[in-house]
Amino acid sequence: MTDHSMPSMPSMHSIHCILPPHMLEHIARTGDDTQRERALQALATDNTQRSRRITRSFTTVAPAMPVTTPHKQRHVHDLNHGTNLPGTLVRSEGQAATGDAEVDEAYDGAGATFDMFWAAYSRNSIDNAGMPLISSAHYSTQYNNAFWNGAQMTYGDGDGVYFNRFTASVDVIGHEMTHGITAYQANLEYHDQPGALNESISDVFGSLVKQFSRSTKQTAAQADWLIGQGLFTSKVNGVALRSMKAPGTAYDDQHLGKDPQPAHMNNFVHTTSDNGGVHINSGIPNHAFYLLATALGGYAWEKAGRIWYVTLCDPRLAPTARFQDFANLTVANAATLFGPAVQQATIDAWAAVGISSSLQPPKISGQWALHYDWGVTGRFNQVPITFNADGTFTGGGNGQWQQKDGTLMLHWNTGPAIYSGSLDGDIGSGAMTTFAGSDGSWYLYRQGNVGLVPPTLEEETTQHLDAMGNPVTVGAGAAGAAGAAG
Amino acid sequence: MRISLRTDGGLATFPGLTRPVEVDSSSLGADEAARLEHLVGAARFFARPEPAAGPAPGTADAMTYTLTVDDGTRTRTLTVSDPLEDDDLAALISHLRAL
Ligand SMILES: [Zn+2]
Repeated sequence: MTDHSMPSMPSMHSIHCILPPHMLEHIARTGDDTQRERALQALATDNTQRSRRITRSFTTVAPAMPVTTPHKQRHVHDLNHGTNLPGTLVRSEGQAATGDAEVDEAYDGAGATFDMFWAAYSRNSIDNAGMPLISSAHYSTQYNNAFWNGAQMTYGDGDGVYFNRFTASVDVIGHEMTHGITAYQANLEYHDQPGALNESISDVFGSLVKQFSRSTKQTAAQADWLIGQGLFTSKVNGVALRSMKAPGTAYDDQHLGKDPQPAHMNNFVHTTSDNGGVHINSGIPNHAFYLLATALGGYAWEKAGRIWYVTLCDPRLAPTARFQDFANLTVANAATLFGPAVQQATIDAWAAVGISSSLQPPKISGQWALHYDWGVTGRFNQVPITFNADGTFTGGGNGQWQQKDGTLMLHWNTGPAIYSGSLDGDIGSGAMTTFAGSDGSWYLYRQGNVGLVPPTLEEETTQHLDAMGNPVTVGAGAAGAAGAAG
Repeated sequence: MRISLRTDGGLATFPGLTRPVEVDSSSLGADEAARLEHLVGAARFFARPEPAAGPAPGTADAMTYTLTVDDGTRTRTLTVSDPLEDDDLAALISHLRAL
């Protein structure tokens, strides 16, 4: 921080740093002539330039994507009906087909899953760092299942009576591999609602793998939204293990029973089996995804899938998350990614399965621009202001903020004044809060459709600007300013 | 010898498959009964250490098997999950599932 330009008035620089509206008014109105002139002159200096710099600081918050080369490295093993993983390695990346359908489908399905996650979300394998994809075929005898053991995928042959081999459906392969991705991201606990979310996420991306990997890619309207279509033999009265389009209708069979999945919270199944019904109640978030994807139209991985993927990777998604928590985050991320219309569609999709994600705006957070005038024609200014999660704000002065029932209140540390205004529209996509009083007006805005990004990313790029639009370090200067101005 | 096997979990839950498999070797033919008793013996069912409860953390879609064997003098219940690491126990479970 340099004060050479105004050696006689060290406090002036501080004013430029912090600029709370009520202080500005105070100085502009009640300061002596010199203070008043300097205040108005300095604060009005080159607003265009300052505005541009603030804009830039808001539009560069996205982290630079590291340049990554996709690393697809598949290994398929043959257990030859044993159960000790992984078995004998029979096909590695780039090797020709073996002629063993289960081995080759495991290989191709792992590739299709890798390709979808890379193309749609730039995800480089299960751990996003090129982790090898390990699969084992021919687990045990007549085994009617596939599973993820925390490190690899495993497939059974099926009993041949009711079930075919479990590699026959590419979405089942996508389902298993997605369990690995979930473990590396939200790591949702595998029981009750977090477990059903975990299951649903595997169904969602498993289905997207199927839609993406068709020789002609399928839109949401064209997809069958079935999980495990092709696993049943003709002996079973059913089409698949599950239906995201119509949960509870995938099969109704004398031997297997009837598909127990609910599509709505009213029919939530309370059970102690299946880890608390993780494969049963997953029908509810499954159906919400289906409803959103079909409402938005087009390729489901592009919008609905991206909202789900960003939510899965969102550090706010706790391992113990329940449906409501997940829904709320998808609603917030929908606004950030695609704006208010898609956010509303997301709210509607969850509401249709009985989960009402609050229409109340999310808490304001991160970096905004505070624009204000002080009742003098043609005079206005704007500064960055950062809303911290602990209820404090910094940047354009330090103080406390409170958000309640659509009202935002700002209380600067330097004086008793409290500014309040109503929050209009949607915070995620650039809400504005306005306050119009006898002494001027102020509002907050985010540039364009930038929306909220995780606070940790914003903190790295927070820039405090002085009156000339130059970056400054906030610390002792701001504290001194608060004292001097108050 | 009476044996029951209950299977829970897996990639999908089928209500029709939740019923336990129950076998009484006295109701089987001599060959079948001998085979079952051989599998129980090979799996050292009564001598095995107590397995960890439930699937290992990070596992998804694994099946959990609850096996109870009553040989007339002893009764023991063991709960094991995929991936089964013991071939003999896996063979016993596969055999029961196929009955
Ligand atoms: Zn699963």
